[in-house]
Amino acid sequence: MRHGAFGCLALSAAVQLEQLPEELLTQILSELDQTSLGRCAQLSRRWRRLATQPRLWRKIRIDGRTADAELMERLRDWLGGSVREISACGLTAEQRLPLLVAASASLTCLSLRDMDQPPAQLAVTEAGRSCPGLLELRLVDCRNGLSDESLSCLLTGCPRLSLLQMDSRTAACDAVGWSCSQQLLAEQVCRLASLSVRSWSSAAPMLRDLPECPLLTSFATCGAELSNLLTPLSRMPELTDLRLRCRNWCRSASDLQLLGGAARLRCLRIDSRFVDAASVPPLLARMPQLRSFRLKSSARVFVLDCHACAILRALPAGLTDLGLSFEHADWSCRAGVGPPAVLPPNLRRLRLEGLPPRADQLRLMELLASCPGLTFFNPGLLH
Amino acid sequence: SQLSNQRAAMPNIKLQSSDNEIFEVELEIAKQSNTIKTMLEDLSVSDDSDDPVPLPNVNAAILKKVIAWCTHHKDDPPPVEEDEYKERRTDDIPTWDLEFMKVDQGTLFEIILASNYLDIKGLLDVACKTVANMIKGKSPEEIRKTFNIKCDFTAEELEQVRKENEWCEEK
Repeated sequence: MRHGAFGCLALSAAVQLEQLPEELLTQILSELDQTSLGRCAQLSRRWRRLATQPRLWRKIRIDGRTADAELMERLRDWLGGSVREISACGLTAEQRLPLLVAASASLTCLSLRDMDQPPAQLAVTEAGRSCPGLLELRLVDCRNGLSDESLSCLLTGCPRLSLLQMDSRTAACDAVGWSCSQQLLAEQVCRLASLSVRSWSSAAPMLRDLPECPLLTSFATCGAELSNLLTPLSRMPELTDLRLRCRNWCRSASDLQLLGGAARLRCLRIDSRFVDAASVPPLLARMPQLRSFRLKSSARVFVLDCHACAILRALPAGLTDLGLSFEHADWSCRAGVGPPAVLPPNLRRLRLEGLPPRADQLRLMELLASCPGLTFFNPGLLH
Repeated sequence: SQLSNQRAAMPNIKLQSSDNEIFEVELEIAKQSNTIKTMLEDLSVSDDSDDPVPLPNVNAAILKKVIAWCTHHKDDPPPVEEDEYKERRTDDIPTWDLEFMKVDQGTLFEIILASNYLDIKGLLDVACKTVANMIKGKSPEEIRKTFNIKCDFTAEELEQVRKENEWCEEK
């Protein structure tokens, strides 16, 4: 009891959170995301007033399971003038997202996920009409998210749009493709700095006839054979960031070596079922500017220890981020793995998965010691 | 003699806490506080002046903490004037700062008050992030309990604000 009383005394003497000036409480709140802010708004009248200041809600996420038209009206009146990023998931036409978008003149990012054709198209059209500062548009699993009308609105209304992502993770969205004209889409694409199309089958016609994209620095796609990509990639003279998911990298790797722009790449991610490890070192040798390299092979492939070592030895000197994953590989050890590898001196992130059973051949401890700046490597690596 | 050597190389100033304790600090370390920096410029206090700078809003215990933080961070690059709209994250607190912030709530809030008064942006940021991390993941009731916050909603209002904020929850 005495201890409790004493503790209570000490507590009453100490400064309490509620005693901080509101400007500082607001700064604390500004470090919180939507979930925590929503909970702080339920603490007391004072906290409700503090936590609902529009400037704390620049980035919001709306989910079809908890949204209705009434919420959308409330958000419009409350945050319409100030919100910068809206992520919406699974909204239907009845939930009336365009109401909010139409009032969001400061919007810079709009992400729509898992939405059907009418609500997605209407929201994009409204963004084209009302959001002149829009920089990023993401449509993930939105069937026919772009129509001719919505694209025309974007082209005239959002001159700064620089990122367009049209990804689908489900076969259903993939099969439907896009309903907009390929020509309008190409017109939009050649104004972009970043393009992601995760459905090669829908993107192929547009990319085949792609005009020169002088601003494009980042490109991601999925499912394309690299031989089909060589022409579109040749129209992206400033490309520095390339992310590909493909089925078979064996041939692709040698294809990519033919690519004139390879020497400029700073970031390369390849996620493939089959990877021929032997093809990687000569590829790396052609990419002196590479800062980030991630290679993932998901199928059962046959890899020699010496190839893994050769990859490590071929890494460009300026590399800061490396990920190698051969999760289901069958490793085979041949005599002589060559001289020990030295990791690039500025490497900060290292993720190695599915290493050969005799990982000591790679002299991992020595490798890690050669990278003083390493701030991340995957735990469990050193079993 | 080591001390006097240091002084020759690096001018010191004296800071006086609210409870009249004097701390001698390298000028460069003290100048991480914009308040002190401005005071020195405005008062054109010469570097070799022996008069302590009075800090009536900071007691010795907290001033000691603040000086420790500034000493550890003296070689940090100057804080950039960041766009007020940036990606907010609270999982990027350096390990040393995480340890430094392992103090009782009262001390933590006093550090916030002191760093605000002294205008040390880096310290204020990291202290606010520490409080934010204490809020994250907690239910409203847990937050009230943690920070001793009194709920002044009626049962009816409470139900209303709960509904009003349902959309904020991660599904």
